[in-house]
Amino acid sequence: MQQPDTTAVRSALEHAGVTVSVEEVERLGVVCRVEPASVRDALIALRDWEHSFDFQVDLFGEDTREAIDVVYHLRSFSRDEDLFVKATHPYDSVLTSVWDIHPAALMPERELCELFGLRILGHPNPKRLLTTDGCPPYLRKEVSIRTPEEVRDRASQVVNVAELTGAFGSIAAEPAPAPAASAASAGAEGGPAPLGESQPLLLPDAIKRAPSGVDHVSTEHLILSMGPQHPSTHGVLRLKMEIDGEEVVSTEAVIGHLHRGIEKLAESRRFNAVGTLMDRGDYVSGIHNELAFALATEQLLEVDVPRRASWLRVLLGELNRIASHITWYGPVGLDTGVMGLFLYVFRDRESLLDILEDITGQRMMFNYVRPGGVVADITTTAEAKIRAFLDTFDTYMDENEEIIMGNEIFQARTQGLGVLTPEMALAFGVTGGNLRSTGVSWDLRKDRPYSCYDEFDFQVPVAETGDVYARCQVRVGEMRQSTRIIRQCIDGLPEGEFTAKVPRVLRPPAGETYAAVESPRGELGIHLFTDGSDSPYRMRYRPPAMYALQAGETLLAGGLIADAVVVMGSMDVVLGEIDR
Amino acid sequence: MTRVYGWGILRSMAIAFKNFARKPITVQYPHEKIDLPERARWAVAMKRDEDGSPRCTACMACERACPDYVIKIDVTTGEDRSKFIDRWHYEIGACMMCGLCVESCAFDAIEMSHNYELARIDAANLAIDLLVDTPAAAPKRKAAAEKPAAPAAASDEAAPAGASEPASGPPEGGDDA
Amino acid sequence: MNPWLIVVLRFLAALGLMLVNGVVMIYMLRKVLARLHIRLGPMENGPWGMFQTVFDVLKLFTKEDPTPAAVDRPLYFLAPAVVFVPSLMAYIAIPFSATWVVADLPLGLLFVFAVMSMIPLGILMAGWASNNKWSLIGAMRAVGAQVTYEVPMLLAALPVVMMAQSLNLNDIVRAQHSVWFFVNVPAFLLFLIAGLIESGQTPFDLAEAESELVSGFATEYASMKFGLLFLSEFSNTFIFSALLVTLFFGGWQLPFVSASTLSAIGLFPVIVFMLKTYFVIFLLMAVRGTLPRVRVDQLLALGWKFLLPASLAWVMVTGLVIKIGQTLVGPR
Repeated sequence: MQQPDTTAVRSALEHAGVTVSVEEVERLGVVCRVEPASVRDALIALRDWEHSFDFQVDLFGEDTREAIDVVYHLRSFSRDEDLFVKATHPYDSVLTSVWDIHPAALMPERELCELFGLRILGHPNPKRLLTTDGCPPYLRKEVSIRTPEEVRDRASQVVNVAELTGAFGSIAAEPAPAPAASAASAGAEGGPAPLGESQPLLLPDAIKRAPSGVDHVSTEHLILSMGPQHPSTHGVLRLKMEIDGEEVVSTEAVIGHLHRGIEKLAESRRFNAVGTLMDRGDYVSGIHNELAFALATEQLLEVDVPRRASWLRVLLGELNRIASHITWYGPVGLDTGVMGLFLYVFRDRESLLDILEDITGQRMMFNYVRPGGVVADITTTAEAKIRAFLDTFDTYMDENEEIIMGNEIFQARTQGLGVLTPEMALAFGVTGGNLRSTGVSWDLRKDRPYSCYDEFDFQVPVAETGDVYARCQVRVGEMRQSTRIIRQCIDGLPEGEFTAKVPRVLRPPAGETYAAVESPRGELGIHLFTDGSDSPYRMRYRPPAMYALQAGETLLAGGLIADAVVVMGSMDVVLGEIDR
Repeated sequence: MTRVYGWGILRSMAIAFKNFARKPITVQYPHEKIDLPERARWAVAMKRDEDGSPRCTACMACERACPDYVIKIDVTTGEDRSKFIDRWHYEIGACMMCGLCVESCAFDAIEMSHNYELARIDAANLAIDLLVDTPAAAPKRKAAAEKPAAPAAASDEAAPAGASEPASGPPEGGDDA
Repeated sequence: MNPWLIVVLRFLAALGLMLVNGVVMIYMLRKVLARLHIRLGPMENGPWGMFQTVFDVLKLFTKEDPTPAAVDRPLYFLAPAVVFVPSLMAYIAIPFSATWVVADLPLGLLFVFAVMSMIPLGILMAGWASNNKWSLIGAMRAVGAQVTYEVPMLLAALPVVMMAQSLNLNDIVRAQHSVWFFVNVPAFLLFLIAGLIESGQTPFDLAEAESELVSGFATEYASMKFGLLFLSEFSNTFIFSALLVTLFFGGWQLPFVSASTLSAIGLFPVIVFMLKTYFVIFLLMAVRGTLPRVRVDQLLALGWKFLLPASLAWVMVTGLVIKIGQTLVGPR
């Protein structure tokens, strides 16, 4: 990764008529500060510039105790450069949506506005994302978290939502004109508008319609809720679908049922205890979450992690990657009706969880990777179990492929379905296996190696078609490559310490940094702000599944209900990290 | 349909029957139980010496380390600066078994036991007292258990604060505010 | 004996068989699926969990049976009956042995098909009366699929009728004394596919696709009404397997043993028949636990575009072959 040239950036933005101050912040990168009114011009200029910063990595806010800093993290894949655009919004001001420049901003903007108390203008769906009306904008510093005495009074924890009297209700600024592009939702003719809410979103070049129905017959569209309790939605996801017979006309994902406020809680925990919070974000791949946070803290502390510790992190990370992909693989079978696959792969997941329990002490909430290294060394029993697992896993994987990937009924169900084009994936900020299934080869382990990944020999599976079957192929391939990495790890684990000497209570110097890992779902990034105290000042957790969910919403339109289940399953969303 | 249905389906059935012949992997709990690995972290338990006395010195390091305020130790300090533990309160129902308390203990007084059968019918039983009305042990460092016990109480008072957080200053109440 | 008493006894026998079948098949399903999935299945209630279904039935009897306020009450209460009764009626014509048949109807096969075709009506009633969008979708799918496959199933059975030259199921069984009609493999495959769909088995169980529609048309039913719907589904599976055995696998006959010696041993043919039927049921359950589900539009395409023309064509081919055989060998 290289840093963009600050003078080139400044001249490109000033050429577009934007007053900007560009500086290079150490341990972070190049930051451009613009006025809130010129954010849209700046983003358009950066996107259309020859350096093409057309990929939005993240969009979030920070309360600097004087104003709200809205940060747009952009990336140029062609030049492998990252750039941060910051705009300072006064409290209670209005944020102009940039969704038509970067559709990836749809959900992050809603979250930013509701949690920081801004109002949004120009968004097609200006509704709160994670919390209910009345919940205060708690990421502001003036909203304090509870004291230990209040926490210990556990009997009185229940909050009656009806009694939340916070004056902060809707986040829509008045008036809220939707941009012209969303008029493409005129495709939903003949049906009643959904109950006074904003029109669901349909992008212009959305999805081909499955052959169905007799369109000129006047029928009514049903609004169906594939609700939070459903055998197939992976986690507490509510998909509000407008259906015409069996065909889905449009979808809206309603999330927030699993929202626990991880980002706010992190502001009151010591650095070695934030790992317990990170475990519970994307709960099926806890090691990667902890690793992202540890890397961010280590970047600020500028501490050298011993090689053995990095190799142990890779070992457990890859074990966790297989376990996470298994948690995706089984339900793919269940969604299509193959009950057996679920149990066969969970047999292997049990072996993996046994190994992880042997090394870390717990099957899922590991609390193992800390800033500086890891908590404990690998045990000999774990080594034996890993070798036993590797001996049988390849055979089992071959069997599983025969049961499902080679089955013609499954292929008929999944090939040509839910096609994600590379342009759409990049526009929606999709990373990870979903992006690699469209043909874009981007894997942080290869392109921005961290934690000694450049010392391993493995391949990154990339598929071309972008449909559900391609996503399955990519993840199955990743599982096989993970076994290669694990074998190299176990055979060549270097001697040394398993952690650097760091104090129990860490106080990193004040600063800001971004660290990302390739989690099984995509690029999991932690943007960490510190102020020199013993807890983070602000921690932003970039959830890769949220961007996949946004893309998934648009993919569902035009398909059948039965396909909706399969397509959402193939995007591999875990609500724990989307809701945080 | 250009796809020929047949061979793939038959191979799927063949794999299914292969699994039919395999031994089930079910462990019939509660008749059979799996042995937990040594490092498994479940409920916190008090460690005791051979004579049965607890090693807890009421240094409060675990209470400070717990992210969820699950441990609460009520201590009375006597005139000779010896500590008496009125209640070592532990809310099992709220504990997430992260192990930070055990890591922070400098006297090897608590451990993460292997007791995972924690379900209770009455919610009041989800908070227990691990120690009641017990004098706190005299603080001997766990690494220096072979050294003779420190003679004066004054130097022992400084030891707990230093032993748990070597790189920080005086015991802070930073995250309690 | 009073003929009316015999009628009542035969009816009670059929009812008793249906209930016992239900209990045994549910337990068998759970065990077979469990073993396919390398786990154990019910083990606690009784040795190897044998009494599990009995307790489940008791549980269903004692459950609260709430009727949702917005349902269409007459249809809601009638629907389980309309689904259950045809299933029971189909037991009347199945020959368990040369003498063990409730009613040896000269048009037995036609009777079974006619009666089974009333079940989609009951499913539609259930789905509509539930006043629940998910139930309605499930019911629509089921009706669409079952209506599509009525004709191909009948047409697929027609070659068998031509070979046996009778619609009486016992005659069809006796006509297989030398060679089972299984040799007519395409007819067997066509009947298998059509019948799987008619009885709602995976890979075609879209009426009740658990991972999509929760319980499909049966979502709003609780307690014994749900029990009736559930029981009739298993009963349909039994009927279909019994038909398969009767039409293609020689019914209650054993190979190399003549029919008369077999009938002389009393209950032995019945045991043979039940074993064969349960073996077919076992295979169906194995398929249920393994294969993915076919989507509804692919299913309808399969029926209209492939199965219907194929079964029609095969009827013609079978007729040709029989005629040529008769011309060459002489009339039988």
